[in-house]
Amino acid sequence: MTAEPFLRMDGVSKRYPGVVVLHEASLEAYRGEAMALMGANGAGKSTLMNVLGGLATKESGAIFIDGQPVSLRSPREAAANGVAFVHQELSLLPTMTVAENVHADEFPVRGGLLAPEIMRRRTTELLARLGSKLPTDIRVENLSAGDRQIVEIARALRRRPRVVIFDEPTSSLTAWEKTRLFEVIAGLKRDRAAIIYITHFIDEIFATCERVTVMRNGRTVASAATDTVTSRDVVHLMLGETDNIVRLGKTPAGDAADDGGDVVLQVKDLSRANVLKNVDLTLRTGEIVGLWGLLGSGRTELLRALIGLDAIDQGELCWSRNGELLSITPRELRRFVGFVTEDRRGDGLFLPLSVETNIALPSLPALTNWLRLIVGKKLARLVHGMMERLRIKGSGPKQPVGTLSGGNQQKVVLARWLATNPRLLFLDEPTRGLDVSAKTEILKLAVEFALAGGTILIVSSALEDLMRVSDRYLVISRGSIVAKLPGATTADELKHAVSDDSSRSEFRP
Amino acid sequence: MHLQKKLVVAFLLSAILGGEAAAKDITIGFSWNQKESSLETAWEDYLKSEAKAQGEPAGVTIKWIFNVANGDPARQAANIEDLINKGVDIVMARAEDSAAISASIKAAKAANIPFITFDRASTGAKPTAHVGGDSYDQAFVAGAAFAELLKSKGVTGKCIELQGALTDVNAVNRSKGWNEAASKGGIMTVIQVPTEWNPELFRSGLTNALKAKPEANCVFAASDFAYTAIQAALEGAGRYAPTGDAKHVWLATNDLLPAAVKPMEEGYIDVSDTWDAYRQAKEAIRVAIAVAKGEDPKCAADGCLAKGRLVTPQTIGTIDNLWSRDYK
Amino acid sequence: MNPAKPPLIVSAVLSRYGFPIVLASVFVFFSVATRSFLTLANLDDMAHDMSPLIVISAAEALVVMSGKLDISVGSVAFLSASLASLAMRDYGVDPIAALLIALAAGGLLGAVNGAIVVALRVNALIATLGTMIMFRGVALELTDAGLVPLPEKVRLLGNLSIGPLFVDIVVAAVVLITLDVVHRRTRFGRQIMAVGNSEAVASDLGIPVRSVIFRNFVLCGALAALGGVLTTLQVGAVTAYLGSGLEFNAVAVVVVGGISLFGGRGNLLYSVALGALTFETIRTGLNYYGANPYSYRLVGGAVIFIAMYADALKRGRLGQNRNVLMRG
Repeated sequence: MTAEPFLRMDGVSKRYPGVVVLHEASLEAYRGEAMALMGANGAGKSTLMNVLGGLATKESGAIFIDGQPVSLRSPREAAANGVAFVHQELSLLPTMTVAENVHADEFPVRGGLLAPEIMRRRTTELLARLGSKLPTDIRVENLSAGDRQIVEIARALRRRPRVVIFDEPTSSLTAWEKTRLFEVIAGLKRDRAAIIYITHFIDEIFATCERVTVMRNGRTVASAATDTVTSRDVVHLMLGETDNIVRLGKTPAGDAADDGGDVVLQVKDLSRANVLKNVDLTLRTGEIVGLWGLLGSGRTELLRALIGLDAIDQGELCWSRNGELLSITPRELRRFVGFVTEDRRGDGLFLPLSVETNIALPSLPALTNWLRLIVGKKLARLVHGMMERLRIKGSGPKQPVGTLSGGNQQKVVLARWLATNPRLLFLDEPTRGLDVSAKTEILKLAVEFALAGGTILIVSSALEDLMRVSDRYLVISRGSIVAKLPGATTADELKHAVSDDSSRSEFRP
Repeated sequence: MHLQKKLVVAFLLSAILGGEAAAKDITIGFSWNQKESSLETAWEDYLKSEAKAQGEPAGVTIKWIFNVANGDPARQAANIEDLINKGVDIVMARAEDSAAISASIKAAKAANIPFITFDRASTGAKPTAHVGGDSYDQAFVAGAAFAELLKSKGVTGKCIELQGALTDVNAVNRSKGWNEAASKGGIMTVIQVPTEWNPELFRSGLTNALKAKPEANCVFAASDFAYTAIQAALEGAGRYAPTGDAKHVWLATNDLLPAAVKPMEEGYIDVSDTWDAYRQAKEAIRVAIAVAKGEDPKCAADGCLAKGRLVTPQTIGTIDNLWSRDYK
Repeated sequence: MNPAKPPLIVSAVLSRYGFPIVLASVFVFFSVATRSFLTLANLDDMAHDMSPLIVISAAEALVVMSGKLDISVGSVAFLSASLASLAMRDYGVDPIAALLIALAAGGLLGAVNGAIVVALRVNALIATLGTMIMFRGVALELTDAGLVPLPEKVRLLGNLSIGPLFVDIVVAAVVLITLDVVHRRTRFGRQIMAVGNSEAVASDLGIPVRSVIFRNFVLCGALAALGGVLTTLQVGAVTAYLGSGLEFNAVAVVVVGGISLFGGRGNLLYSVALGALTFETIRTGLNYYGANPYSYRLVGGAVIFIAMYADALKRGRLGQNRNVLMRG
């Protein structure tokens, strides 16, 4: 372990219009070591690495490699300075072969024609270093996610990088592929590269990294050797202090008993291989249940599985109809549930279409007349009513949704589902990317919905937001519910609940 | 008495009107869609000469205003508007766009000026009259003459029919005309080849047909505009020879366009029926004079169509007003 | 989630062997159903016929594989051939120089396409739709929409052969093989594939995406001009119909041959040869068969449909191979 950091990023700041994404962030990495970079969503870790990889420009700050200041204004410059970036979204060319992909940024040429033997030989060498025996002439689109990643890494290695950045590399890997990846990283360390490892899986950082840096709200809040911290410390650093939580809605109960309203949904033994395990839960009318877990714990997967967007291997669902709890399949349940997804711009909204169209879409059958044509008046009434109730601010119902502010966009998504009069709402990260007042408005709307008798299952990485509205908590980790906590649980207790000892693993795939 | 008075008045009126007709001066405004090929030049010359030839005996002096639109329908519409504003007595036009011309027809009607479409019919508003070529007759007459010729040479005709684009009404008419004349005249059409009016298909289709039906000894081409393609196919099959030669393939065509003139003079083409610029111009003038006099030009449902004329190697040198031979 | 599954055998066969099976069956059918289809002379003629189409389709294939489309190829062929023929007719330019004029013109027109797509960021389909109309208009102006016959000695080149092989077959083969080598074994070719896969990823990898696309269009234009020259030689003249509909044929050949319109995928040699052969077989076969002319379009459409179906089946299976990434 050398005393001097091989890579040093100092005082890096960056802002996008209206929001500061990096504020004097810093990072150090050493040769032959892996530095874990952690932080909640929006903490700035990806942006900081984008700056290092030449994909984003910084406004202030300096970067030093091997003691020399470097300017990294484009991916080419970054590569020229020995920085390789293995992205989460792999940049591979699916219809081309492994060898071609490994050489895609610089095809070797001899006398005007490609030199396939050189490509083949070099690719085989690189793959061997990574412990892979993939044939070099197979098309990348036929490879598994793990093998594709190996190809991407091989390409990065071809240029003999000195700094290698891995961005969430294990999201799509099987356990065996993960192990292989760790061996690859060990190999890179032996080659004296400096590695930066972005992840949200805490157990991984203890397995592979010598150091960890934690970021929060665009700042670097801590940096330490991994053998001097516990996972609980890390979670604490990631989430920060949660004080002065302004509660909306009713005062939370002291015990975790699910009593109160009538049962609306009962789930038993819901499982899906490698993703969810024996999930049991009960939801009642008029309550907001916070589904609390870290990224990767299976929160979104659970929501999706409940309404049949993903298949399940087993599980019983019972839904209350006319006072009786009757068996129901996830697909059938979908008709009664409004699902506000976490990516409102991606799969929540049709950005170029108007507010009116977006809101009305799932409700169209109810707005048609006997000719199956949409009745303008009914449509207008519905949309107008929603816009007022949710206080959606814009130039009018015809405004394209893409031009609204984040908060108003989120309200449009909410409006769309509320218009279908669901009894149950799933909210997945509904306050992501919103400013403080917009967050409050959304949360208030959720509370209103519950007060009117509806039920909400809410997922959020922002613990404060969750604590402002939840009547009780279901703690999820690695796909199973590990705790059911009452509404009065403190923030510390909640953080503790998710940072449990990583040696207790539920899965042996 | 009343009746007598009426008769006298009528007689006097007709004398006056008749007298006016005897010294009538009309201006025809003619809108060309474009004027860059010899066909248009020929048409214009024939129109002018026929105007004199027919006008004198009818007591009508025709003055002309011509304008050209350079292939632009909007420009043509503006040109026609110009003519209307100048107060011409009749508007004649060869439409660039058969649909767009409707607007001009309506405009002329609104100004009470008769509109005659020339060569290209309107697909929208109906004009006062339409003058064009009779494509059915073209093929029928050529077919009948061809049948006669073959009979006189003791040849049983087994023909290849090269058809035009079946979306073109002229092509459809010609196919009908040919087939009816052929069956009446004892010619067998052994194979029909669609060419979509595409010279490449003329060539390849004929090549294939010659091989598929080696017994074929004659060809009917719905148009000789792509004569060189036909020639290439025959040469490729080693059967390009003029009449009299043993290898000669009997050839009947329609249109007799400039590309076909020399081949017919040299005897490669046996029979053709013209797309007759002269007759069309003649008919146009006849119709114009009738319309100017307020008479019914007596057109058929699809217009006053001028028949083509039959031409053979014997007559091609001497036939009058053959535009494709005279205009280069 | 899957649509109703077709009978297992048919779909399995189609998606594995895809189109060659259909082609082979069609070929066999015509060989059996007519005399003389399956003869050396006919196969020779078919190859002769196909040559211009092969040249232009190969160029189009390269453009399609880069994820773009060029539907102005027919007009480029027409305009380039027109310029060359007019140069020979009006300025006495010699044939070699005229050929060079055609190729240079084609490259220039291709550059116009490339510039509009790359610099003005216009969608390729729209851009080349515009240039298709524009170039054709210019060519029609220049040739007066009439026939420009080739000088006699040049015309004879159209049927020129070296031994049993027509010269243009050799030219087409050379072009096809060369382009295949460029595609598979040069940096330019690989970069085209990369761009076809994903412009964003290619750009991230440092590939000069805009330059690649631009050069591709220039190449396509020059080859389209070559195709136009070959056609003109075969037919013996430049006519107003030259190249009309050619863009459709070129794209159809590319797609039927198995190259995906999404780009980034395909084997040039195999696909163009297969696609061109398919259309040629059908058309020639129908000629020989003496089929009802109205049936040509029906058969052509049915064949395209089957090819597309086979392609969809093949891609459907591929789609199942893709891994679904887990959400965070």
